[in-house]
Amino acid sequence: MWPRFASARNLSSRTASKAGGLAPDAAALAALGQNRIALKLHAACTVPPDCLGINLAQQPAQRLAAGATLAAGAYLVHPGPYALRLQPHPEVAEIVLALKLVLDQPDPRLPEQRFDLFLRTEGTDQIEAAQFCAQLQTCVQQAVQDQQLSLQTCASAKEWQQFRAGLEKLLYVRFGWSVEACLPQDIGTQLDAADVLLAQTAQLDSLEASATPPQVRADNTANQAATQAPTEASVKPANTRALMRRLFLELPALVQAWRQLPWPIDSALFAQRQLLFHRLDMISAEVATPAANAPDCGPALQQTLELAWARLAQMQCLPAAKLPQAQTEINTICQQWEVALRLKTPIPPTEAGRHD
Amino acid sequence: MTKPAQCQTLLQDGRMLCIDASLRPANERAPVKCQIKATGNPGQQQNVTQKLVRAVQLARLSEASDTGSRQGKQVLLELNLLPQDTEQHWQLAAVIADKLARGVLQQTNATIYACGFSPAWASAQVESEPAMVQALLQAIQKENSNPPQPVIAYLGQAATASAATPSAQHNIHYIRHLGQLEHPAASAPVHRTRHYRAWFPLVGAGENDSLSWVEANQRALPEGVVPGEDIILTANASQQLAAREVLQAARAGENKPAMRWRSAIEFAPTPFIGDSWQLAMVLADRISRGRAFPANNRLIASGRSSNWQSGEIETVEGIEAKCRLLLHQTQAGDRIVLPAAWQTQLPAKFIAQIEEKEASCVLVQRLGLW
Repeated sequence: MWPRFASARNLSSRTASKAGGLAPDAAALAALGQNRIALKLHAACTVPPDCLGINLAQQPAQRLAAGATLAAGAYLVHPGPYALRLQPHPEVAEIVLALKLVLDQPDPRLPEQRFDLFLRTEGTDQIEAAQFCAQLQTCVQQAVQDQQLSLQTCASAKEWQQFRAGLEKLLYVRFGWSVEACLPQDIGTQLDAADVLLAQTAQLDSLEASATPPQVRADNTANQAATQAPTEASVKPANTRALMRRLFLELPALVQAWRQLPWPIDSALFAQRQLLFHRLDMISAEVATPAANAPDCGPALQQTLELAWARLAQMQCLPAAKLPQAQTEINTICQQWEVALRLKTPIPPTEAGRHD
Repeated sequence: MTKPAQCQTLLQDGRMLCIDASLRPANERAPVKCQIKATGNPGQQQNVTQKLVRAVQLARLSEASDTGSRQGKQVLLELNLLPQDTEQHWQLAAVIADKLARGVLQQTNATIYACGFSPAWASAQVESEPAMVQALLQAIQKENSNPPQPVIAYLGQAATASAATPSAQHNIHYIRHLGQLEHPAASAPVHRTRHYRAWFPLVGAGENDSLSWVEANQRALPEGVVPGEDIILTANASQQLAAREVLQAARAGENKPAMRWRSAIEFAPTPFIGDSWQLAMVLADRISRGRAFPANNRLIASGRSSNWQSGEIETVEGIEAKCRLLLHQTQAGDRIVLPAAWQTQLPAKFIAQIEEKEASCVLVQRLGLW
């Protein structure tokens, strides 16, 4: 019997000697499940109990249970639950949501689990719980600002349930994590919105002092985003190259999910939809081999990507009658990408998305 | 010898308006009173008086705590001329005269001039049009050069100042916000405010039914600073006390360790009738302090309480007329909040009709978390 050279053990030891990385130490492992959600491996490692391994070398990514061996480049993940606090409304600093977040069993219907895709496209060496929470918060606040999620004055129990359902769907579709508990909390005894405003004021004042424009509106109305995330950093704007890579890797998953929406049987819409998906394929091809002088479209790409995932979450809850509206939305998103990638000139805004 | 509190400003027609300010015992009078000692169209008089009283009081939000000899006094502002309806540059002069009277600004032996207005006095921003500023500077030069007299001028900042060269004895200050009155350095910290406007249906005889509004302006204070008294602007002085009491009780029910804001609550000039404005005011106050969710478009509320500390919302009158008004005036994104007691008395399909307009409506028993 020949030795199985291709076995994971051999592979990992070869990779380890090539990379020269170290296996994670006890402290790093202990942090998993506490203040750290995921850890990228630089050397082979056995998956500790209570954790799972995500091997991105395969397509789709492979999930491995405790006891399995992982090669360098794979991720160790603790599925939680994690107790996180996020501020859902950018203008309301004193109300937060106490979330219990957990990485659920994989959904067999998905070609690749959303969190595995997240690690593939957005994964860093370490994913700290606080930093992850900040990203969730940004996503939720954007959805609230876009009125995709509704937090109403004096919300009724029913309205609160609706909000919670929308939030859960959004976080699952965008990040692949499930919400086990979600409770609103008044943190007025711990934090005062006055301090938030004073901090923003100080920031603005120092910006004004360094710049020299004569007139800055001092009035601070409902347009300032106030984050209450435990860490300073929210979503850092990544560079264009990284975002093109994200788009390249995420577009197939988005398109597949869009294709699978329960579209009504309507040949006119079907024809339009086929054209739309063809255009999306073109975008895929474009980002696969970016031109040497790729346009600097990072922020636009990022914004539209986030929007695409958020809207997908919403579309998956729409009744069939409202799906034509969804098609218009996908068209708008596609257009935004085309414009950002200079594949098309901008078309004057139509009533796309408005449904009368 | 210090002069009595006075500030002068140039009107559009080239005449110099003098605003004299003095203190009188309050005795439950309005905090600010305006007298115009010039004849003119009564409508115009009323207009200017109202604008002045509001501007001066809202501008007091630039003072974090109560300073000067405010306690128990009324400030009387007397104008020797009547400005045009469309003019606004005299407003800064009124604000300054008020601060002089209360000792917030020190009166010296210099003649004080001002020229400026604000898009929102509660925000303490000051602006002006260059033409008005130039005209004033020229007038100052003319009146105070021969023989030279000490002068201080406060001018709202438009663009970069390319003013007439001031003489050595002229003290010309360009300000962008009222904080610079006390600290002339341009780097004086700008206080920023949050504000929120809520609406409430006002119904009377049926013809003049309308949505009136209440706006809460909040100025954030550092820890340890004792906020000055809430500034409350109502159409009638007598309604001020009612509003003050409601505000105090509603805030007491919030379980907050300290009040970190100074507030200016402004009602629309239409006098309110009854108590149904209370819920709108309480909600506007909370939303502006970051403690409740705002509406997507307008928040419209009607309700009262005899025990605001508990947050229990009680019924108010005029259900039919108010619902009719709401159905007529609601816009997409509006949020309507009504007392739970109205549940059985709402017109048929009221909520469905509101929702058809892409607005939403909720009936509330008690003010909870948000």
